[in-house]
Amino acid sequence: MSDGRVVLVDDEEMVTQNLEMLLSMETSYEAVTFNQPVSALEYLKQNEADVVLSDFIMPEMNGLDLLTQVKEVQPTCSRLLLTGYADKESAVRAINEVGLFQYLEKPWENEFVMMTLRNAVERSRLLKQLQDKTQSLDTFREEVWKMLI
Amino acid sequence: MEDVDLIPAGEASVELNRFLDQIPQALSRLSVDLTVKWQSHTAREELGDGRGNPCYRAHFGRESPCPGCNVAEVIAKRSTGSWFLSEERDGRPAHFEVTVAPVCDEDGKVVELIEILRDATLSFAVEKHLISTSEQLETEVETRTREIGLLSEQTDQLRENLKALREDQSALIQTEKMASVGRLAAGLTHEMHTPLGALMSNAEMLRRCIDQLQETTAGMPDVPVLAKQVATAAKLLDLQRLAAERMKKILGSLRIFAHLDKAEVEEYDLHVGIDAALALLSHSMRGRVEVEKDYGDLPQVICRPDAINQVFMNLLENASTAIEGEGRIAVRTRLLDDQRVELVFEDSGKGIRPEDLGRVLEPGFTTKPRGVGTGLGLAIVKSTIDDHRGTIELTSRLGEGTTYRLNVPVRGMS
Repeated sequence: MSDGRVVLVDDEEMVTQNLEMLLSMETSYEAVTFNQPVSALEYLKQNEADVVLSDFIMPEMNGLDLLTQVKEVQPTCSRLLLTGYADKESAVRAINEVGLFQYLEKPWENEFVMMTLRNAVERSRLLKQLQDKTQSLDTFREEVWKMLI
Repeated sequence: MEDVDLIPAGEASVELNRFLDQIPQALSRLSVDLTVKWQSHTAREELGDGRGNPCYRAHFGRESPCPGCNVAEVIAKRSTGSWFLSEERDGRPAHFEVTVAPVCDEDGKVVELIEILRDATLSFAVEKHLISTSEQLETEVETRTREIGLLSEQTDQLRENLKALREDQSALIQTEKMASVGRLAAGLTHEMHTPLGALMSNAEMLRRCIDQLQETTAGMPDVPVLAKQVATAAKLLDLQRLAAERMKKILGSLRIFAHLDKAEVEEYDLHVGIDAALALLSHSMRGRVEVEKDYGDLPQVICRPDAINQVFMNLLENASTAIEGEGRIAVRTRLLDDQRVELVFEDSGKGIRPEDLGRVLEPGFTTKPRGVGTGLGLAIVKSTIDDHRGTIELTSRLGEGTTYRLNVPVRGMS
């Protein structure tokens, strides 16, 4: 059982493989990699993930579109954008519009990637716990309500 | 009176008359009181027989001596005199040249006059025509001179226009060049960041693997060969990491240089731009050109950073190429007052020939071979500095180097 599931999306295999190795070496997270954003989205419709880290510019679908759709299927999942985009200003603007957890710049520092991933996983976990607690509170409230009636 | 001479018929007189008749001009012999005594054939044909009459009546139909008559003087000085007489004949102006020669006796006394009448109407007309022609010519020359003046003014104007056109063209080329450099840099940085990211990350992970391997093998006996190979691998990996760091830095400079992250006009630290340009040129200067930096305390300058970076690039590139072999480039900056900064780029290069000094800022001027220099580098510098309301000053000594002195207002673009 891993400490969390991280979905990695980049059209470049050299990136996904590198990050996968990094995670396997340095963390106990499970890494699931995709080189096509559409396949990643299909996967996320069926499977829960703590973090989705996606490249920005990819054929078929760009990273922002992908992460926007991820939010719909998995609201508690932390979303990260990995960008080599030179125009930082417009990248930041786009990121704010979609409400991402964080963006990472290419070339990336392993240390920073790991720290960000840890924070992202923790956030997702906390959100999920909060969601579970709220749910059980609702259930509890319903039961109390039933008992009162 | 036909054919009768009023002169006593002496041998000499007859001989003289015969001689005078041979001359195809209106000749008359007059007494000193101006009475016509003898006329040549031509005179009689042209003027009619006037013998016995005073010359003015016989030849001009006047009742008194003609105006301008000079006979008195001819007699007094005993020398030939001539004058012009103008009058109307048959309703047209006619001109005559009257020449009177004195004939003296043995005592030197004037006893007779020989008058020669020449119709000068034609030559007058010719002269008049000549005068008017020459006047016309003068007018023509004046007109032409004026036209030439106008033409040369127009040429000057054209030359000015051409210069302005060239400047506009270089500004256009500059804009287009900046845009394409920007696009290129954006594409390049984006494309390079992905493999570079993987490279750097891999190197770091590999290094960690090797560290672990070294720890593992440290406790094992009899593996000196393996330990040596692992140590070599570690060293090579460190080198690879350095190389990757260098690439990252170059891309960073390119990014600053093309000003990819920022707005068009903003407050900018000029030193950042100079350093980025120096970093991008370091390949052509390393080990050859020593760079001395003397940076003053400058405020942020409101400018177009991409254009200003291009200025630094062009000046430093020029300085670097001017140095054949080894040399030195000095960059000095200082705040002149609250309003202006001074940037000095000084090189120990080959210098600019005095006759070229005035032209190096002109668009299209280059001393580099065709295809190497566009002749736009310094023109772009000039037009950018003009845009920022700054000035550029050039001093150069052949064989000693060139100094570019920029004076830029802190808020020139605001």
